[in-house]
Amino acid sequence: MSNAFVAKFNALIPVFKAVGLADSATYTAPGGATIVCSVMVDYNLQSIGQIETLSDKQKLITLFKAEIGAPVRGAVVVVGADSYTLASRTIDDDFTSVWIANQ
Amino acid sequence: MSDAPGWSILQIVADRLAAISVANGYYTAAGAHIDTERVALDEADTFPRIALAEETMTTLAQTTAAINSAMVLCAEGYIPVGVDDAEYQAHRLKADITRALGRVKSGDFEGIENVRVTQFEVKGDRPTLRSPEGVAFIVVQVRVTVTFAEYIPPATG
Repeated sequence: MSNAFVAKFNALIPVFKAVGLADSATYTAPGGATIVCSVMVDYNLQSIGQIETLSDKQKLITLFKAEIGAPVRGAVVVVGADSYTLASRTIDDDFTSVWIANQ
Repeated sequence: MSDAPGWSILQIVADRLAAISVANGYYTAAGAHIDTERVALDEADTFPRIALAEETMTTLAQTTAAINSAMVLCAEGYIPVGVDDAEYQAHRLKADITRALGRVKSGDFEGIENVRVTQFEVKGDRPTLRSPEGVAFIVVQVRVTVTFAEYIPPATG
């Protein structure tokens, strides 16, 4: 991925927030300082159970590497009144890191 | 006509599961919500809760007067979990269901017309079903086998 392309993508982060695709948040790695950042919060429905079907929202947190570098497991992301703990990385590219989070 | 034998047995077992409460010495209050019909659940429902359903029904033997059957019932428990207590909660709910079912006796079914339960035992797998990461619930299962005879009354018509 070229640096110019990465720069263009990163320039879109404020736009994502402006149109409501991303939210203001804080990111705190275990033992680290709190960083103000932008995140996207998505929900992936998962079903469990064999007799009854219990569907629950699996929380997916997208973080922008330009703002926080490489996120780590156990970091806490706070979005408004909601707090998420990063549990498992599912996507990681030059721009973003997407994590399944526990709430 | 009275209810079907399998359904009547299942309802009595459900009634025994309803005893699961903290006040009765159990870990959870799962007895407050026992489902015997299959429904779809989500986070807006009340938990913990238990669903009870027939898993298999097998004919063991037939005589001129009765059919002997073995019915496997599965009690499936659902409980919300936090970031670091899923296994802990699973063991507590599984223990509650196991204890409640372990207290059921063959004699508890004496009121069912034309049915005699000969054996009721907690038997078979008692798994904890693995939840996808990030899902805030865990599911456990406990199975029982009910062996019973259904007496066949003469046809009336």
